[in-house]
Amino acid sequence: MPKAGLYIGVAIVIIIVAIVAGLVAMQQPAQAPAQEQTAAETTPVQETPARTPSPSPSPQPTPEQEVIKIGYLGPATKPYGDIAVKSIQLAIDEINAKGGVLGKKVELVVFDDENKPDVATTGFRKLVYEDNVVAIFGIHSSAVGLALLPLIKEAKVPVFAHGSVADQIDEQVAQDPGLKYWFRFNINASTHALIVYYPAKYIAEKYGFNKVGILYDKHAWTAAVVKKVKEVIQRDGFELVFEGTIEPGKTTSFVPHLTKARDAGVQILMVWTAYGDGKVLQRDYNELKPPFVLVQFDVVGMTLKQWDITGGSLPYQIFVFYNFPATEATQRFVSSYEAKYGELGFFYPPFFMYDAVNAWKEAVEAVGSFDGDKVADYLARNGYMGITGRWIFTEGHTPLFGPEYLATIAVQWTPEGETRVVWPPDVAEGEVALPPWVKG
Amino acid sequence: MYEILFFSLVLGSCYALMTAGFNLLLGVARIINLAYGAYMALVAYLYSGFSESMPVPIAAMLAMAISVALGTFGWIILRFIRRDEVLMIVVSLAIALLIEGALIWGYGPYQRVVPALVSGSLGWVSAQWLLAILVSVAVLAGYYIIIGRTVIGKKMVAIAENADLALMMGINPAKVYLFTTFLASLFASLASLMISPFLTVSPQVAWLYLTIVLSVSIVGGLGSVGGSLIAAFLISFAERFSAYYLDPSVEPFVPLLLIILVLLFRPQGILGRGATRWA
Repeated sequence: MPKAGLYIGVAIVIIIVAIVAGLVAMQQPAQAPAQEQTAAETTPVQETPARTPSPSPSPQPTPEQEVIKIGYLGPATKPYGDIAVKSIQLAIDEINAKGGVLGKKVELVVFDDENKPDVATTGFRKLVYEDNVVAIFGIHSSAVGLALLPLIKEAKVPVFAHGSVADQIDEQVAQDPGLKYWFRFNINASTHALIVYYPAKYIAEKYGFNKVGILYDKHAWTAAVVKKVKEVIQRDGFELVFEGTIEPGKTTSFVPHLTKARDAGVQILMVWTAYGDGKVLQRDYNELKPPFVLVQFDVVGMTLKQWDITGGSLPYQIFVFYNFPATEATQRFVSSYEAKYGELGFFYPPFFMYDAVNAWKEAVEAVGSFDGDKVADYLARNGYMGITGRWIFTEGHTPLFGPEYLATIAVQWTPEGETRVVWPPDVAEGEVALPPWVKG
Repeated sequence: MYEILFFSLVLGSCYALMTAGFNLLLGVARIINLAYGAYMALVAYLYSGFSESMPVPIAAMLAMAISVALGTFGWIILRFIRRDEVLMIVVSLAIALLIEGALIWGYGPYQRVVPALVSGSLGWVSAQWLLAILVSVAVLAGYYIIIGRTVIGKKMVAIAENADLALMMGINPAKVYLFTTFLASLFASLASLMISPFLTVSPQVAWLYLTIVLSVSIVGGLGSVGGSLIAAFLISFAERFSAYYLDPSVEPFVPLLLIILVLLFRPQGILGRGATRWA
């Protein structure tokens, strides 16, 4: 090829860039597809339009005022990470407006770990040893949490996770006092099993179903989910006739899964998915209409927007949502968040992280020090009363679950695109309606 | 089980449609277009984006019009480097990466559900499934008619057989290449509109589409239209049945496994003859 060809090739690439960029710029989506979230009326909620973390700048400290840094280590460019960062920044802004912590202004340093353990370990070292942060928030992936434990032990810096729910972490933290700096502001995987199982059990007993199936992310976070749910299925005398796995973030069609479950005779299918595959499942379920009830914990599907995201594919599907108390403090948080960042999208990360920052602040002020040991000991001993409920931690530093603490509800989508609470019975707005294609 | 059978048939039809456009470019213009999958992904995103603010049929037509114009216009630029196959491959790969990057930038890296063109069902069969089969059959039939019964089709065959000789016979290759690119863009756009609602799209779906197209072409035999048709259904059935009987996570490996088997035992593909005619 003559040289002219090379020049032309380069020119072509530049032109194509301009064309594609222009085209995409004209076609900005109204929202990222995985934007989330909120539950029924009992759940204060909203959505977030931004795609990258863009917390508003903190008030600049006066020259004479010292600054203390805290870090965010998590999937900062994913929707749930983005809104977590924003809620942390909101908490920091409120704290700084009241004079900071122990007289020091708080600053946030963000590191995007992409949910990858190797990236996260680099990020942890950078935050701790270069930025000198005194606490780290975030941590979504269980694989990341497990990879960080040795580093946390060494650094003695309190860590507040909004995900990373694997039970192995609880076990290690319970057994090793050197890991006392780890706190999960989220329920663990075993509890995730139960928040789906109990609504499913309620429906099964109501309609006389006995054959159940489970479908879950092939991922570290579901190992304890599966173990626990199998345990209770066996204990309660149900028959597990189908078990399927989801390739996280990669499943393009659920036709094989649903067909297999149908052929196995499933009457209720329980689902745990956290990486955006849920919308595909929901669409295919609606297309195939297999003769079973679908009860699911879809981390990125806990939103009223899911109806539009799936093109209205949700009739009769049942979702587990977190149930935050409609207290004045909760409403104030939602109002503040929305005033600053627009509609609040994802369900739990902003609530959990807002509480986590304030829990850290309370602990620091109570012990009069940023020392990791003192802060961790205080939190483990006293917990924290936040907008989400009361955070009391177990030996493995996972929070207690229940009406006084964190709680969930099950909501069912109607054919009209509305949701209503169907479980637990004491707060239900109506009975579970069986899909017309399911025989009760 | 019958859903699996029918779904395999549906996706097999879509695979055949996808590969028709790719093979057309390869056969007539001798272009190995590695941006083909990214182009399909772009169509899916355009359609999905437009459908948020306008009726689905209009969104589909608009997306198709823009993408076909873009594909054809792209040819007008790329024709200068067509004769350098290596450069062509590199440039098409660069374009694929650019499109993927642009989609990530514009829409984020998340999965996206693409709306079906038609809703409802006939019995247990989704209307979109039926539409995909009907459109694929109609387009492939149209393709054979164009190739076998029209003047431009015969010119395409002539150039595919021997471009230099065709030129000496008074055929203007530039016009034929332009029409070929238009047709390939049309096939790719239609294929994307048909298959995307069955899957979930993300910017990385470009590589899934490209893998399928290359697999079907290689397994069927480069240059063999009939072979591609057989390979499209073979791969689709193998994917679905492996997902059903083994595990869904096995599915992505099936096309690659078939490529390896074919290259080991029948390098020319199922119906490939090593012939030069590719259209």
